[in-house]
Amino acid sequence: MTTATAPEATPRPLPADRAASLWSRRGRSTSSSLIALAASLLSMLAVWQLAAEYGHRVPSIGETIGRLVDEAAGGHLSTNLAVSMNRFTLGLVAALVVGTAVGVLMGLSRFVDYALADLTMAALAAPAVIWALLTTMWFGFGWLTPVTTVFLSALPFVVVNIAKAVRAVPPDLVLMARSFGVSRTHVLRHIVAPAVAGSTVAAVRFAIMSAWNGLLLAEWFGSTSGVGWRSRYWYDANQLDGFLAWLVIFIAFLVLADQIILGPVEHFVTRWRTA
Amino acid sequence: MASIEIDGLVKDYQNRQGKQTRVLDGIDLSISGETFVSIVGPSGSGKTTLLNIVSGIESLSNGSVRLRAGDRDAKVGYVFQDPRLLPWRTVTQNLRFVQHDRSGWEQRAQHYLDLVGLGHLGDRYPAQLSGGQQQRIGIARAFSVEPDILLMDEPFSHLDAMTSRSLREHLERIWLESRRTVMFVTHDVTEAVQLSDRIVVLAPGGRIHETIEVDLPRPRRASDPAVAMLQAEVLARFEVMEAAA
Repeated sequence: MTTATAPEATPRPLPADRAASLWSRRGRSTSSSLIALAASLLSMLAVWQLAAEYGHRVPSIGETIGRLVDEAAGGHLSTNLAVSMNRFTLGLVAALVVGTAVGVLMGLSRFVDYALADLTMAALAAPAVIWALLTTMWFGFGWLTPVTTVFLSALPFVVVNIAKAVRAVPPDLVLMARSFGVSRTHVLRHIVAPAVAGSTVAAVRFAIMSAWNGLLLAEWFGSTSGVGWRSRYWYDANQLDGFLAWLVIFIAFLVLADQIILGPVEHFVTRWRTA
Repeated sequence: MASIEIDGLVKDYQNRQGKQTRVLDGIDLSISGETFVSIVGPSGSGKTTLLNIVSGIESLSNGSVRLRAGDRDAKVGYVFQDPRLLPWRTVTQNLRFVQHDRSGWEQRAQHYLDLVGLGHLGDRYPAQLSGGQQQRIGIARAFSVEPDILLMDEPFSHLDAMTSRSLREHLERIWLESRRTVMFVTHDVTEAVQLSDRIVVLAPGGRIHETIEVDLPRPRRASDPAVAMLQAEVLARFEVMEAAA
């Protein structure tokens, strides 16, 4: 047996060098991200502090954090956060399940796509506050109002992104698999799933943002518990430090969900693009 | 012994207006044993359609195609015009993807990667390889399933002349070692003469114009006088066919 020599130049360095360069690049990229995050946080805090010093009725960082500590000590933080998280998870999971099924159907069938495309676009364009007001009028005060709002706010983002992802599955690769007699299960696992993974992460990311907004509004208008309700409590009491304290929680959840969960997941499923 | 038996194969396409176009018109072809057969013909003569029907990717309108290896259905490997590698899987994982028989697949994959000279790149992703390297992985993938029949659709047409010449030599060497039944589609007469035992010329309209036996010693080089002479003769017959069309 003869081992031939590669006639074309290998466009990348050898594995050891490559690994070193990858680590070095990844290290640089991580430290750059941390520096960017720290700079962004510091600039926000600086603007906040300036606004507190010179603005009209803006509570300081210290006052806001103090209120947050009080809320935590009184049990309001954990109770309301837990209630909101339950509603959020329930609505989001339902939206992901239903949205994935509808999105796959729209991606596979032109007829279903034509039938649902305009409805999906209309739902996508509707602001979360509309869902919050509608569900409050439909269901009144109770768990169904925020859960349904979360579901309706997230659903169109999941449907649109999953449909787009299914349409993007490369038909050439599916034909290749068929010519080798590869099983459907293998095609789903090794072609369809990786092809839709990137768009699925995008779907979840948009769904989380929209659903969390919807949750806050639904609890604001139609609930007696949760993050949105507690924000309104301080708003009605005309206590800006309490209101801002809950706003910080609201924003922190979105940032943490994105950076700690979705960021690494996205990096994992698209690692072949940057390898 | 593997064989491809094609009897009275007809393929019609229907456009949106309902008009039918005949792409293949009564193809009868028998290939058996350790034979390397090239299908050549001008663009639109139905070469790729014929290969797709043989592989089962496309359906036929009439006639029959049988792929057998002794008393069982033949196992088929396919090399496409473009490599069609899964971009999210490494080279080794790409070879693993098409294996039905998982026992000993790693040794088989490494063996054929070594044969195409890329045994050291198993952990790379396709995007990290050049076009020529990707196509060699495509060839290794097809051989790694140890097929009874190998179908190849203009596998070197997207590559530059130097790379395709080198890959032809790789292919001939692997074929001489493994001796599969090969059906190779190309529009390049040089390629057909260098690699084939038999050349089947398709005419416009999807009919077999003629079959040419190539009885030259192997391994062959494009620069061999005998190869060059036969190439000139086949090209002359092409011109006659085109003039008559």
